Amino acid sequence: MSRGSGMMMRWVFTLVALALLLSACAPTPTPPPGPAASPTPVVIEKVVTPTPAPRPREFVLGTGWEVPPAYHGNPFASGGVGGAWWFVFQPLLIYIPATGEAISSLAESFQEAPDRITFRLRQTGWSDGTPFTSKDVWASFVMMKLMWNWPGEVDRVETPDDRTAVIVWKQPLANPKALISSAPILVNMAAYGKFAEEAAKWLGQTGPEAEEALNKVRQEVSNFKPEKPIAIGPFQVESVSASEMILTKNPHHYAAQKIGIDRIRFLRWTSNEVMWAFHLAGELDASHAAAPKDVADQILQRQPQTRLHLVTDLSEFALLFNLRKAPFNDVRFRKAIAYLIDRDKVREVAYFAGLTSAPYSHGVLKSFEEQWLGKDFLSTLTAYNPDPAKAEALLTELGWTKGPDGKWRDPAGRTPEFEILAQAGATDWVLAAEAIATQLNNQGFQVRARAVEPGVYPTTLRGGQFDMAIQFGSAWWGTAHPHTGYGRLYLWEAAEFTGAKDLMKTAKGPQGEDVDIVQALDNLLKEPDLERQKAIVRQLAWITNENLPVLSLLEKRLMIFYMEGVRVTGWPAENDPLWTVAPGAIERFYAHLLIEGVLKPAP
Amino acid sequence: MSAFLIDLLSALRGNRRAAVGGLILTGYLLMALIGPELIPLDPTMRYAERFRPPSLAHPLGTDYAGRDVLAQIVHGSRDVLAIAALTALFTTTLAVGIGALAGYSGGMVDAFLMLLTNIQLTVPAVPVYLLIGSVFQVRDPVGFAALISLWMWGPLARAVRSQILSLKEREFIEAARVLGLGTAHILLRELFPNLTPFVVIHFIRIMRDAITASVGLIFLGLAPFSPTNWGTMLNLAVFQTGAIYIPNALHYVIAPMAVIVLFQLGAIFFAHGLDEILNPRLRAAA
Repeated sequence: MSRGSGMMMRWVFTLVALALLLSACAPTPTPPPGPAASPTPVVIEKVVTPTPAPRPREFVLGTGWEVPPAYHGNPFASGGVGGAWWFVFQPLLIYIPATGEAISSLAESFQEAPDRITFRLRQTGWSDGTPFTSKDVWASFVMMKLMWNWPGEVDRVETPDDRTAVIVWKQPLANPKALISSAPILVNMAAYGKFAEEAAKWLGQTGPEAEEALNKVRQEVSNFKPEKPIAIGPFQVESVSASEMILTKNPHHYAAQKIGIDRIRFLRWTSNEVMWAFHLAGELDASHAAAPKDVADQILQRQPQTRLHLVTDLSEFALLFNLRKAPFNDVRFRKAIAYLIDRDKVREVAYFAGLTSAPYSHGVLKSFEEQWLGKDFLSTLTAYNPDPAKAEALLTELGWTKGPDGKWRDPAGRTPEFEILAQAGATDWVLAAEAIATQLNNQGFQVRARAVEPGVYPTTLRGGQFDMAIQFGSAWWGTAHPHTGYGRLYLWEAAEFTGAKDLMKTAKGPQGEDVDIVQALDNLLKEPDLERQKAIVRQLAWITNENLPVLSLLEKRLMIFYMEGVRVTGWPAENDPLWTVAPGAIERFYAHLLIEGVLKPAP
Repeated sequence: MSAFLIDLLSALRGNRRAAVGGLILTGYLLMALIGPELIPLDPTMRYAERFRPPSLAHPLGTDYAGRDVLAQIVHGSRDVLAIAALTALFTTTLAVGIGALAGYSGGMVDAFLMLLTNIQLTVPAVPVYLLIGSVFQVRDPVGFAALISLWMWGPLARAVRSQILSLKEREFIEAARVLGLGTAHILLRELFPNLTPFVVIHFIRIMRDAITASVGLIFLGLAPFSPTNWGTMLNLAVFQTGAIYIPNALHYVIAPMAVIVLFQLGAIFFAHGLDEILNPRLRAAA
């Protein structure tokens, strides 16, 4: 016997011994009961098959929330409410960006005046049973002002009677309905009235006493942690766990009878990859988890009842330049970079569902270009199509030279290295940074991408510790109006990142005129006439395109995957303008479809 | 030293596991040294050619942007192995220095150095890396390796200290002390040669850990994003580009995974083989 077969025999023996041992340890089978000693009457019982409980008519979505015990129902304290937000809270009206019209929501009707909107409220109730009144509208806006210092445009809320609320603006606004659409009614007087009344005494006052009093109320509000939110929206929170959040119908809601869905089941959205897996398994009815083209194709192929609809996110991805730093402080250098980047190739790799911003970078979203700027105006702008010759001419003008190794050298003869920052975890931004770095490296620059941890990314950009970075450029969230986009580029977040807030207060306009950008933005905000708004927008578009504080890469479009006819049916047609309600608050769109009875349980 | 190497090579011939490990690691070394000269890397993105299956033109297929996966692996090997080797070098030097000094000196020096070691072992690495990364910019493999090493030396320092504590009570050290030989002589000539096998094994294990750690640091933003880093390739394949969900893209997931696994396997085989060769107790049992 060879050594190998001896080993084999030992193994077999061991296995047999183990099997015998295990079988010896098995419990002795109980013998079946023997026949009864005396005959007993046989009772034939009727076998009743229990009727299975009807499957709840549910709608399955993905969202995020704080895991219990951190979860609570105060919308103003950190960690409250989570992704249930737009199902438990509801705005007075819903603004449709595509058409510019507004649909009544918690308000039955409304009347606009230049300085105010008067709302007639619906007869509906909170989930705690209290009726909805104009005082709740007042309390909500006071609380928003107290805790978020927003919306600053609102001067006061008047309550002439229980069912009438009047929102008065500090000054006339270009698009007040969009603002109201993004500000849901959050609290009722019964639970939050004491905070709102105390805050109202001090809001608008200055001085240490007022500040101290307001801080005290803020602290009290932050410490208030009810287990669940009190809902004015169509659903209320039933249960929350680490993996699921269940909402059931708010029985006091005006549309409770009309809503065909019994419950909303939220699966926890920890990352897009998790959502892709849920979609592939047919577990989700809808989500907007951005996916690469091939993943999207897989989802549509494996779940034939899943559809994909692309809707503008009212935002664009952009390459931000650090205007504080040479050589990015020179517009000719920024233009040279723009001529070296093939933005459509970046879109393909980073976010295939986007709309390439090329050849312009004017701050108006691509899908609104025609509406706000028009073809004639666009033809007056510089088009930044990939053109290495133009880039070379600009760089040579700046004193840059190309060495024998094909690398660009600055006027001092150095070959500088640049970095493009992107937020770690933001897949599309990281891929965009890498794609741009590759393109610039192929053209003789030395550029590396760097992914920065999300917690420190905004601080890094605000501190000016970067050369170029991927971030949102123009974004019209909340208003669907170019004012918000230019505000972002010249006054708010993106302006703080690039330095444009301090460095681009004025610029030359299309006719060579001096333009005060802050003043132009203020005029745009107050201007009620659409044609005059367009004139201001064109001026700002020209300045943005010719000065390139950012290079727009693509208009982001939400990738909304939705399953038709499995658990729910009745999704709007692809060309329905209602889809444009989704950006910034997609759950508001879903909730609206349920309230209106558009989305129903599948038969 | 050369005698030690000759002994080692002859011992390797007799230990199959160490020989296989050594062969794998030599292959990787060759890939890093001459691979980039033989296989050019074209970073141009060709979206239409993404996720192409393995073929003669692309033996390991193409990635999410239509680039050759084999070329990326070969070109990535230089940085990956440089970071791994440098991290192992820095970590080992630091750990052996601290461990030996603590173990041999004893008293206050030992207490102080072990306090430092305990701090390193108990404070989580990520916040420390974030803090350091906010001050220093990593631009090359040396800086990258130095950053990783900074919070990796603790376990080895403790182990070296224990070895020294045990060795310094042995007769030959006592004899050296009686003969009046200096501390430097005792440490460098008497103690360190006895630590060599132990340190070599840890050196290889640290190389393996450095590859894993480097990916974490890249995605924390503490080092430049390198698309040819094997760990980055794997992360892109699994998380960022969704290749794991695309049947015809599995080669893109498997290729970097296989390269990392094979490297780790080679390192483990080599380390264990060396342990068997160099550890007198294991050698006696064999």
